[in-house]
Amino acid sequence: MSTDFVREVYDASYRRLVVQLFAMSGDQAEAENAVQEAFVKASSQASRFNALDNPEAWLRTVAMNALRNRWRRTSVARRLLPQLPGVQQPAELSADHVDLISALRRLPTELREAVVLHHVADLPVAEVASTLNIPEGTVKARLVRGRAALATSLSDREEPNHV
Amino acid sequence: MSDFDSFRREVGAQVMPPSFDEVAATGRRRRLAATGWVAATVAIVVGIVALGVPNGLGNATRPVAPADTSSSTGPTPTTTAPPRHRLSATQVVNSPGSYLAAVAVSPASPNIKAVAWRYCVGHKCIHAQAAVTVTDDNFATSHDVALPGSHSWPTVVAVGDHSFYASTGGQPRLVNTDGTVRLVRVSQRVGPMAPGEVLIGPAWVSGDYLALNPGSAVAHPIPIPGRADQHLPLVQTSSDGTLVGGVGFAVGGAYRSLIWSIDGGATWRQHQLSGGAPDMVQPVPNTGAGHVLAAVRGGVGATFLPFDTVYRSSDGGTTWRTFDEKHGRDLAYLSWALVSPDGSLLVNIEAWSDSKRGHPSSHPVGLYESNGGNWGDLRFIHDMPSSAGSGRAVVSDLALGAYTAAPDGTLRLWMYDSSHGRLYESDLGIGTWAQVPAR
Repeated sequence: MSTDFVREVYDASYRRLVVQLFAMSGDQAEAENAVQEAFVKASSQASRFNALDNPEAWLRTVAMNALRNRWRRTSVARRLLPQLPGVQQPAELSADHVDLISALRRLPTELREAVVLHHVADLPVAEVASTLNIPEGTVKARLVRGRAALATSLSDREEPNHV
Repeated sequence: MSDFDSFRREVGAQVMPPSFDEVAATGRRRRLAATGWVAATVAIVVGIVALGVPNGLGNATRPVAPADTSSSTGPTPTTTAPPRHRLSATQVVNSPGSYLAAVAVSPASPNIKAVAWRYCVGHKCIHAQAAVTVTDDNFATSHDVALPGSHSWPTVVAVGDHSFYASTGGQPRLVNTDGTVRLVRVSQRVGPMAPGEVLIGPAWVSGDYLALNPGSAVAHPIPIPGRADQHLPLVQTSSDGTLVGGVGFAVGGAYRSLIWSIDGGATWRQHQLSGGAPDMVQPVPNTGAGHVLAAVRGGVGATFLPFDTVYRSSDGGTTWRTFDEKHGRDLAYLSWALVSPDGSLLVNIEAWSDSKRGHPSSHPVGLYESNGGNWGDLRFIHDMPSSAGSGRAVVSDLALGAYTAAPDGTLRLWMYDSSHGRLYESDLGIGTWAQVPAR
């Protein structure tokens, strides 16, 4: 069973997927684990993976589910452990982007997923709706609320008097 | 949201993918483990049957153990497998379940169109097929062409009177209304647009803006100024051929500017946009005559109305006028803006901030127009098409598909409802929307 196609997708999509999952989780290590898990699964089922028309969408879904499951598994630990100060971000991340990630993490999961899929993964509203299995109108409403919350969060930081 | 663009670039540059061979080796181990588990299960079942266990347990031999026993949490390709028979282009176009994905209209006639359709298989759209249907008689007759791959949302662009660029992230196509198709070759030569070339972009993966020669079907990147970590959210062509774009997210104010080129990208000029708040800039293409350059500046994370500032130059960027809008309590989310042929500013509002679930805003969604040349004063002029549930819908489901400006100054708009596959057309003189064929 050839994994050439998986390798090809890996080369093209790995970074992009990690960025998207990082925006969702706020933790680059978790994002990389989730994306690698998706590629491991793809490699273990290469012949079926090769038949996918939209392999990146499949990988994204697998990685998002891995992320959600990990969050569920560690929810108790996260409640019990003291909160780490700030976001677990790469050391080189600029202050603007640390703030952006922090603002994203403050969003409810449903809003964050919609915002990240639309604005980071560049998926159109219809495809975000398909990915999250919700109506397009709901996606738009979540985007509106998510963007408004981000705007408030970031403008509070940057300029308290900004609208 | 250009801040996300710079985020993508910065984080993407820091991600160091591990060796694929390691990942693949883990996958192989998992497959072997799964195979071993299956073999063990089958052996046990066969053993039980051989020992003459009664029928109740013997039935267990029918459903063989699952091939995938990994603990991975995602959907398995098996459960979302595509249909055994791929749909033809015509089936994709005509399926009731297809999304209307993109629209392009020829500048020569509103009856000459290309409409891209996308068909999803599975509730998470793991499998998708795309096709474009082209017509030169408003779909009295048409040709359907499959678009291979589905890496990205379909894109269609009018590149001539009867020719359309179409892409879904794979190798793009040039589709003529007579049904003929040519593959577009993308060269690596970076250079300005030549006469007759058409702006396409941004390209899938590279993010380049391309100049496409419809005659040769060859495209090449055009040079756009900017640092590597800077992203151009939007470069568009105005009616006079000027390329206009907005530069970057404005945290810190370093990148906030409007850029434009009147020679196809060979040289660029820029205008630094004033204002101290973090925000985003959206260039506004001009659909009329004259060298009008325009941009609107809004709030963090969203472009909204009232804008913080509207910028306009009517002399090709030599002098500028700004319009500072009075902030109201409610904010509106802008989906697009145009300078109409008569010189007014036209914006489409898709939602208001006071819209709540089940409680539409007191403000209408739809088209707003400036009071002539006073771009600081916008008024509602045009409802959404009726399928949007009236102008007071919580959030409009409609997207701008295409627009054309006729020599007589008539601006014609097409908006579409993706999930319902409906296409609407309006010229602003009439003030109503009409549903028109889209396939």
